Amino acid sequence: MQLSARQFGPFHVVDIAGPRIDAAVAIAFKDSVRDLTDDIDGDVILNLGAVDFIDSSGLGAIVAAMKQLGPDRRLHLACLSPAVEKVFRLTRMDSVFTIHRSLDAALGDHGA
Amino acid sequence: MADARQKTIPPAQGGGALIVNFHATPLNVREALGTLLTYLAPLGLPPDQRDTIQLVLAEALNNVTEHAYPAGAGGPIYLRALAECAELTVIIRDRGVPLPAELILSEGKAGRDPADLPEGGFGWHLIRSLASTLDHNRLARWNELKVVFSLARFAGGPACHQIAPKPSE
Repeated sequence: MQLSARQFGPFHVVDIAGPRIDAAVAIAFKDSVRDLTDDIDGDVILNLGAVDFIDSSGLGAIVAAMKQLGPDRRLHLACLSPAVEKVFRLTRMDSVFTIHRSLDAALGDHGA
Repeated sequence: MADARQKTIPPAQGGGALIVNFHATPLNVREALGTLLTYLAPLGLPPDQRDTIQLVLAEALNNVTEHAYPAGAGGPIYLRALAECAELTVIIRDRGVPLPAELILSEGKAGRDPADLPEGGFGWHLIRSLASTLDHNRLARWNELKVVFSLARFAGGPACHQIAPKPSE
């Protein structure tokens, strides 16, 4: 699983290259997000466009990544596949995160 | 490595069962799920149903890896899947510690305040939400979880009309 970050104006997009955020990579994922976002400011958009499977461990890792950002920064999610969207909906985590249909929509919502 | 008992994975459409034995680790769980999806591929299930099956079984197998074998040394997992008569029946057995019944029956945590958000506890909620039928038994030294999925658009398998209908439950 490879993660990378791009800056768009006031916030950063974290792209996930791997197709799965599951129990096998959940801890590594959480640590990678922290390493990428530790010394930057502003909101973070997690681009899930390449992810086609997530389990509850992966969901927990995304929740943990949100908490790592602290109370003043938000974690947005973009480009959820149907399988990923289903996990967020069934656990009602779709009401906790701001979810955007596309990266453009996520960036547009923030006036970038 | 997950060790499929069969050298080649039998297609679900032929009516044969898939049996996979493997050591409980997250990577082996991933590999076993891949084997199961290969087994199911000939059925041409709708993507949504395939996603559901993979998710439920991922949660069940992760649960064994994390909770049935808590010492971290792992242990054996036996998985048997059979697609037949518009149903997929999956049996998962492990030799780990008995599962507390409340884990299976209770509703999961539901914190809504972001500071209180759980980073775990979603697994059984997902399993209960998505499986058609769920049955857990403690056998002599085994935990056994049986999950049944109704395959709405299932077109393969043996001719089910030759099998006597089950008495209604």
